[in-house]
Amino acid sequence: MEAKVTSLNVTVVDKAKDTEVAFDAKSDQPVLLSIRSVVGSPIPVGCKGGGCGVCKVRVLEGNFSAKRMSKAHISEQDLEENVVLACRIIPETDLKVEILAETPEEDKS
Amino acid sequence: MKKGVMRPGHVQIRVLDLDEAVKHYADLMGLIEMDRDDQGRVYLKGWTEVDKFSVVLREADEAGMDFMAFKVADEATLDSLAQDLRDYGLELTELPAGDLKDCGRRIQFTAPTGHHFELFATKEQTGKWGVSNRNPEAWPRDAKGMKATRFDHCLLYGDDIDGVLDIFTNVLGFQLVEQVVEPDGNKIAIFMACSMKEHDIAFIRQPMKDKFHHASFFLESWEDVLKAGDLLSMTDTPIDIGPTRHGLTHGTTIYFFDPSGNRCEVFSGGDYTYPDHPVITWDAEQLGKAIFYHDRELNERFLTVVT
Ligand code: FES
Ligand SMILES: [Fe+2]
Repeated sequence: MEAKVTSLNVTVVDKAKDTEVAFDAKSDQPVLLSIRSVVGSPIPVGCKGGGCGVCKVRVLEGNFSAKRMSKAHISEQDLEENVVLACRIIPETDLKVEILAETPEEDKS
Repeated sequence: MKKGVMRPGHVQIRVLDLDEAVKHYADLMGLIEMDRDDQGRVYLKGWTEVDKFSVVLREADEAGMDFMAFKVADEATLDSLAQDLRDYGLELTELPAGDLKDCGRRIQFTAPTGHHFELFATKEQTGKWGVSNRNPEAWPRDAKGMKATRFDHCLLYGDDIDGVLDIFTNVLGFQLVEQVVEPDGNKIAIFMACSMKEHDIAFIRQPMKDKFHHASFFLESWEDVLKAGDLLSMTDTPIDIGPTRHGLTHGTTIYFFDPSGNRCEVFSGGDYTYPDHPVITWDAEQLGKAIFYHDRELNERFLTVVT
C-alpha cells in the first residue's frame, strides 16, 4: 500500500539567534531533505546521511520515525531525550524542533 | 627515499545501511562488487585495479573509516617495514591472512592522529575487471554509473599531522609533495605520495582524532567528472561541491556524500611528482584557492562535515 504523501509543518527554534522559522516538510522523507537550499537553511546542512552530526536537533513536539543515526553523534540517552539528526527523521505529524548544532569538540566518538 | 610502499591498497568504510551503500558505490559510482564475507562485509574495486578489491564496506552504527591500507612490494619488505615501525616506537597489530578475504597478513598501526593504517604485501589478483591481460580492449562495455577506475587516495582530519608526516616520510618512504603552511611555518595540510602521483594520502590539521574527510576515486577525464555530477543530480545524491578544480594537485573534482554521510570524491587529472621535485607550498591565507581553485573560498562544510 502506498502511503499518501502529505505536507507537514516543521517549526525550528534557534535559541542562539532567538528566532522561530517554519517550513513545509514532506511526510515521506527526512525533514532536512525538504529544505532545498543550503544557503539560509533554518537547520545546518551537512552530509544529509546521518554521519556528520551537524544537523542535530531536539524534537520538542510531534511524532517521527527515524533511520539509523551515527552513534558517534547520537547516544542512546540522546535518543531517549528526542535528540536526533534532522537528516534522518521522517515526520509523522507537524514538528517543533530546537537546533543543537554540534561543535567538533562535542563529538562522542 | 622509497622504502617499498607501492600504492593505496584498500580502505574499509563504515556505513549505516549496507544495501544503500552498495547501491551508491556499485550502481552509482561504478565500482565492481567482487565478494562478500561471513561478517557481511562487501568487497569492491574499480575496474582498472588488478588486485581483487580496494574498498570494503562494513555495516556499523557509526559512519567513518575503519582503516586504510598500503600495498608493499613483497613479504620481505613487509617484515622490514614492520620492524622499522616497531623501532620507531609504534605498537603493531598483526592480522592473519584471510582476515580480509583473499588478502595476506596485514600489519596495522595507529597514527598520531588516531587513524588506523595497515601494510600488506599479498592479495589475490583477479586482474582488471572486464578486460584481458592479453590483447586488452580499451574498457569494459558493461561498467556502470561513473565508471570509477580505481581507489586513489584518502583525505583525513586529525590533530598531530607533524607526527604523521614524520612516520610516513621517514619510516615508510613517502614524499611530501604539497603542503599548506601558516606564516610561522606551522603545517596545516600535508599531501604525501609513495608513487608518481601528487598524493596517495593527505591530512588536514583539525583539533580532532581519527576523522574521515573523503575517499577518492580516479576518472579518466574532466568530462567524466562533469557526467558524474549529472548522475548525482539524476539520483538526487547530495553534492558537496563541484564540478570544479582543486588548487592543491590541480585535479578536477566533485565531492558528494554516500547515504551514510561519508564524503566521496571522483576526480581526474592532477599534477605528477618525481623524487627530485621540490615541495609545493601554499600559504594558509590562500587556503580557499588551494582547496577550491575557482571559488577561492572554502564552503562551510569543508572544515566541519566529516565522519
Ligand atoms: S547532515 Fe550530517 S548528520 Fe545530518
Ligand atoms: Fe581528494
